[in-house]
Amino acid sequence: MLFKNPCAYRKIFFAISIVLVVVSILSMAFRGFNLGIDFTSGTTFEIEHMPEGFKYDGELEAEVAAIVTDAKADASVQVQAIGTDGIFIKATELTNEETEMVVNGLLSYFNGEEVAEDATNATEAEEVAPVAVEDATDVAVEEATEEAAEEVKGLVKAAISIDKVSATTSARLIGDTFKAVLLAIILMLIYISIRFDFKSGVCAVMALAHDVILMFGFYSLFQFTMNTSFVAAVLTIIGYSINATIVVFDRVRENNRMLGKKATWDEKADKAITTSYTRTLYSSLTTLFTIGALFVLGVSSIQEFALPIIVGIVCGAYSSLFVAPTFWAMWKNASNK
Amino acid sequence: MKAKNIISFALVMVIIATMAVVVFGDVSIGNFRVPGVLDPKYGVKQGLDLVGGSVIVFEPDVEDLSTVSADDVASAENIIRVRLTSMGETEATVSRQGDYGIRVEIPNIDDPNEAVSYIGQTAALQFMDIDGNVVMDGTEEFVQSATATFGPMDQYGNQGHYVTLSLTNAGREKFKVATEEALTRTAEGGNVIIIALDGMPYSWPMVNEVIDSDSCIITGDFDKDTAKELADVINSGRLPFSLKDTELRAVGPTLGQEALDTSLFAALIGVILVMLFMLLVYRLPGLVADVSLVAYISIVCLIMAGFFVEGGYRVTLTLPGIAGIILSIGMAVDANVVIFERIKDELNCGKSVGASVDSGFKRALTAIIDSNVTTLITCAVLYFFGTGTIKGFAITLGIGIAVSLLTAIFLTKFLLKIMVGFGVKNPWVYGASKRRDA
Repeated sequence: MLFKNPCAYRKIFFAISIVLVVVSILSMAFRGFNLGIDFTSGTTFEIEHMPEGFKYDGELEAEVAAIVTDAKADASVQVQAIGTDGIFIKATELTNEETEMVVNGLLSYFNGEEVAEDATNATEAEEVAPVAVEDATDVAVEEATEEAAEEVKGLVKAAISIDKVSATTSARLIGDTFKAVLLAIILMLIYISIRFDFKSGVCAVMALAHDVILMFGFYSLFQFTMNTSFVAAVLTIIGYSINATIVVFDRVRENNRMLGKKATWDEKADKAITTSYTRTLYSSLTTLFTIGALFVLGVSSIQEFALPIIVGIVCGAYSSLFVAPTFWAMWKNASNK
Repeated sequence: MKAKNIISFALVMVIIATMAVVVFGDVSIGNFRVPGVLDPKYGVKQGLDLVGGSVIVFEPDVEDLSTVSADDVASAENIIRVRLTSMGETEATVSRQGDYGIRVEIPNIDDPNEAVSYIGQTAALQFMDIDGNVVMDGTEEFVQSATATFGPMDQYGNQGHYVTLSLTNAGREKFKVATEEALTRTAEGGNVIIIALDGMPYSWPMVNEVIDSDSCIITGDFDKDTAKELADVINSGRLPFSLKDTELRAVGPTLGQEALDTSLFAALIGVILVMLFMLLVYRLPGLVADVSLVAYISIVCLIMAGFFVEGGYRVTLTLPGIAGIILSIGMAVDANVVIFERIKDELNCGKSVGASVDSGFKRALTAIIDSNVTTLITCAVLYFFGTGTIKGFAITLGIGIAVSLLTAIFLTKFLLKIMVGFGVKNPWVYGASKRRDA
């Protein structure tokens, strides 16, 4: 039976994992990632709810993209729908003045005025921007713009979210994240080696790497946007998945102590795995309840965070049961003959 | 024995209920009001992604950052403070990020672009007369430096904080003329030199004599900080750079509110599902775990709100922070699942309920401690290497794990043992697979 003595069927589990890992790596190599501005630098605009009467379609996409290229002719623009009535605009890094122009352009577009198809509107927007910039101290101007925004019932400035990340910041983020992951793994390896044995430590870290590669692969394969929140999610899964692996290895450690030479490594690992089924299932389920609720009900920034965690939890449950302990037993067999 | 058990059980339940009311309440009893965890003043500090607002990170706009001294950055930081105040953004916070970054957080701002261009502009420092005519520019050409000093301020030896202004030769000339001019208007109270930043009067020291020297002092009602601030403002005139925004994250207030509402609702649904699940699967221990979970959530909220003490350390709750808490709820439940599975194993081996509970806890302990310590290692790494929101996530997850160790082990054990003490000894209610006679 596959689930009664998994060690006997370890080749099947290894094969599944190897296929998934290879697919992930191939996808990363050939499809690459849909990197968000946290990694590539750039400016994004997000409108969670468009005013009534606007529907996301090709026409709207082109017109919104034109608002950005009006502000900066050579900007690369991507427009996406979010949720049922929101849009997300990703552009190359814009200056403060260009950002202002885009915001004004969006406001006039969604508030029913003619889109800046001809030059007049574009220059108008240009005129507005510098004035607002230069006279920022002038309270009167500020109030005037506020009033203008309040008059129109539709899109207001307060409903537009803007993110801007410059190239230096994003380079720093990648460097810092890489360092953090490496350090966390080394520290965990040391801790597990002390509390269990070195082989357990290596197997646990391997299972972790497996989970993280699959998370990356999933993101590459389906081209989900990767941002800082993905980094936070990966680090969360590193913590969570190791948790699951350790609970299984704790059983192995106990079986080893109690059974000693009376059982083979495979038997000890099998027993640890089979006694951990319900725990792993229940714990994964309860965590999925909460994180799943966030994914279903949350706003887009929360979903961006919840999705990779869900993927990681599923991978973690699999690897902590079928990859780490079965590999550990195989290694023990090989070195103890 | 039983009476003692009843009393301690009742006591613990009352404490948990009180905590829950305090945290989720917003209850008023007469004049005494319990604020609740979402209270803006006493509750958990809500991050800008929840209330809406902008985070802007500025850096000196220069080719080579190594030409910028630490003093220059400190000076720029103070200018930003002054500018924020003049914009009326008193709730804004300014902090350093890395060697050259200045992180500005402004809650509830509709138009972050205006703030960016206003805050980031090159400082225009000018010295003016009472009518607002510029008598001297605060540039390198005229001003050498300004320093805040503490020491004797007058011939009587009175000590105090003051600012020393050092001028260049050209500056000395101009200042001499300006002070002479100012003194001629003493009668009408016009004997002042206005120090203006960005065209707005910032300070207006009185002129008592003609100053023909390469340094002079500005005295006034200064304390250490205000003297330093004035010195920084004067020095800003010599800053050769403007500031550029390397990072801007602006969440509109409406979106922020929606994010908070939906996350809280999701958390509520998630927790209810978890509680139902535990109750169905583990029966009595499940109920105990649910009580522990309520205690756990209450304690985490209390810690994050700084125990509602004014000026206490309040954790800023961001969106990833909420995710961190929800994840730690999952892990708190996990600890109980590990324990209860052990108890179930022991029961199914035919041990008595009392013995099973004891050895279940004992044997689950190593797994729980080891697994939580490794997660805490990740938290620590995140805290020290992460920036901004990731740091917030690490803090909430760390607090969550620490508290969950307490409630999942000690509180659950305490309550379960009391249940056993009450004589609830049917193995079925403890989750054993078949109904047996005790």
